[in-house]
Amino acid sequence: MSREKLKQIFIEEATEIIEKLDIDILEFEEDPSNKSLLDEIFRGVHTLKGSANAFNFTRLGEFVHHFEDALDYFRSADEAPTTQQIDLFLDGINVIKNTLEYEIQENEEFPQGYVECLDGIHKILENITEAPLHEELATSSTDLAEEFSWDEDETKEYEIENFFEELQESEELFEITLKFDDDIYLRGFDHFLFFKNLSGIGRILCSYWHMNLVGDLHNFDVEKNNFKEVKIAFATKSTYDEILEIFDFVEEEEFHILHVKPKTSQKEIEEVQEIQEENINTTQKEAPVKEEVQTSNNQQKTQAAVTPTRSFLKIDSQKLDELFDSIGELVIAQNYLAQNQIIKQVRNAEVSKTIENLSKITRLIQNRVMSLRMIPIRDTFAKMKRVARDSSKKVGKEINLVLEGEDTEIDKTMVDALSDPLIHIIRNSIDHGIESDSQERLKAGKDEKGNVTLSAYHRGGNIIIEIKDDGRGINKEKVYKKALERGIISPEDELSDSQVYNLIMQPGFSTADVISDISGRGVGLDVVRTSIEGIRGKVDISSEAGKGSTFSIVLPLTLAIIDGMIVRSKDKTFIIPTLCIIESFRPQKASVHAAKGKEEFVQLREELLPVVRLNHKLELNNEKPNIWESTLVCIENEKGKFALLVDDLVGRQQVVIKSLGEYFSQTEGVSGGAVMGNGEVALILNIEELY
Amino acid sequence: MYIDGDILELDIDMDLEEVKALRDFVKDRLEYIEEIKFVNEKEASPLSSALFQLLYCVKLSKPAIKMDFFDKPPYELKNYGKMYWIFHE
Repeated sequence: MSREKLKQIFIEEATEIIEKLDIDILEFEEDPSNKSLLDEIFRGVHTLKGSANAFNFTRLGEFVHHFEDALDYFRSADEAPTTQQIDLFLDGINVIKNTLEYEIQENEEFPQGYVECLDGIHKILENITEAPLHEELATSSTDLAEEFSWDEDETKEYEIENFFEELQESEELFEITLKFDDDIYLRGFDHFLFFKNLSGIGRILCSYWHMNLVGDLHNFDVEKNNFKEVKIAFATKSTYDEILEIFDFVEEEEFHILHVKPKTSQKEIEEVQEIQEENINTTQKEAPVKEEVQTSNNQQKTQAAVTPTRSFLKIDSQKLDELFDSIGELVIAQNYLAQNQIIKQVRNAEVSKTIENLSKITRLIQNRVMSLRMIPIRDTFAKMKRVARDSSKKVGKEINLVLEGEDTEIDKTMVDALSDPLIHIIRNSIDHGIESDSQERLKAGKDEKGNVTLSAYHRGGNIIIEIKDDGRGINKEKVYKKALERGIISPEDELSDSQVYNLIMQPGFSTADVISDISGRGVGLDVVRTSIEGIRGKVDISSEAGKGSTFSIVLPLTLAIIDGMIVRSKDKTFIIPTLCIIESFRPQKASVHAAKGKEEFVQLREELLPVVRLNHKLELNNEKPNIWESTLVCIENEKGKFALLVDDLVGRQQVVIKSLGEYFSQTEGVSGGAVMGNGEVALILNIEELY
Repeated sequence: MYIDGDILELDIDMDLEEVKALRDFVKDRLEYIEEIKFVNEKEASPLSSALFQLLYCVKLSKPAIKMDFFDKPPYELKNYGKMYWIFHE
């Protein structure tokens, strides 16, 4: 591998380490007793030092060298770093980030704050008289159980260990648990199919079959699996991965493989500890090791059941996108097969079963490939701690940031696009939402500290990210007045509360009387809205005077698949993203109105909605069916609600989005295409351009 | 599969379709069957676990039916080791 390629890898890894350092230092501030976290921070910096020096990044190497020493002091010291020292460390991370950029750009200067921060670190080090810096690693016999989260309470006595005696030379013992769904037979699988395949690479010593109640014989369904669990003691010379291959086509939650290790002597444990500590000291980029350890009360009888090392592979995200495209094609082909009229006429159980099986396997592959793009939002949320900390210090308000739903998974592309909008909303909440005067909060019966809650969860096929503060709420009248002053709205406009709140996301809008350092420039919330719409999401704002405001970001699960309502107009199929649809309806004749004989409106309860005829808008034909005899879809876009007239509603379906290519990409009213199950191409409507 | 007096003799390597047929066969003759056993267990291996869940259902419906593979655990198979049955939660 060329040196340039190695350098590129280092830069990527260093960027990841720096991002993690930021998060870890904040977590350490919350729990200064967490020495293992400090160890992790230390290792990150240590790795940076080694690599920086290897690539002659001398300024970076120099800085992280001293930074590492300061961290090392706190690893062995009883005292925890002060808030000022944490501030210094956080500034240090910024300096590391900037120094790395300067090194990459071959900029000879020192980045801002470099010298000051290094001085601060030197001052910490000067105060250390006899720091047991490098001895510490050797003497701190790290408790491996703690290091790898081995929890004594979680350990279990496996009966399976009785089978060690039956092992032949070079054989290892595995416990395999099968928890198949009840449709396993219909999917063409069977417990004994796996028994047969396992027998091909080893010996089944024993199996435990947990029977569920199967009901009476007359109603017994042979095709439904009632074994809730089957445990297998398996002896083999094969590896974990080779066993894993046997279960390639079943869901991950339907099986579990545990590599059972024999009892280990104390001496062997110590040897393992030594090797592992050595590895920790020399490299930090090893793949994480997951181990389950069984410990009895007597340390001498520690038993270890170790699951195999999980290895990780870095893949170019473009390759994943290509794979996803191919899976999209597979789904289309499979749908085509399933809906093919000729095949449907073949009334053969084998054919039906095969197609059903193919459908399940396709879905399984699709879900697995989709999951490759999905990552927990945890890291993005964790980054917001720093944002909240810095903002609260800048505006002098004490803030408590609460994170919820950090395990919610989100498409990788969206994660990248979400960071800036989140930063902006959080800053905005802290700067404008939370009261400046803590007395004002106390009078209102609130905590002295302002609360900002960042949460993520799934709702109706979407991901919702909420930023909620318990501040003073948005002053509706002030927003309305400002919007009038700026000409964003006219006095005739009748706006709902939600529409008034959404005005603050209009370009150039700011109600801040004093422009602060972190927000209030009127550029920002409109950028937030644009960024979120760029990933096919939307932002809703709700607020209650004196109680606080909530910004809800509604996002699709993925950017590659859209949940759409299939409609037809002039025998052509179109897809409306369901995120924009309020409802569909067929109006009474009396509810339909026309203005000047041209513009058409329909009354939907309290609202008068303009009617947009899809066939006219897309110039499909000039037919003009009566509105009261047609189907209308109430849609909301940036400008408000309107009723889209279509010929027919076909149903709701998830479709794989296809680009229309450069030539058609500018087509008005259309944002993409999708291939339907019958092979027909349907266009995805661009709601913003329809009205 | 054939019934010899009150003993139902089964091939252990029945597939799912055969197990379905067995269910239909057994449910009409349950009261006459006193024992169920496998005839080829030394040579063949089971193909479908559905067979054992059906037989378990039969056993529940008529506990008096003798089934050595359930009555005298563990049941040892030629290629698949010993099988233990866990009936409780």
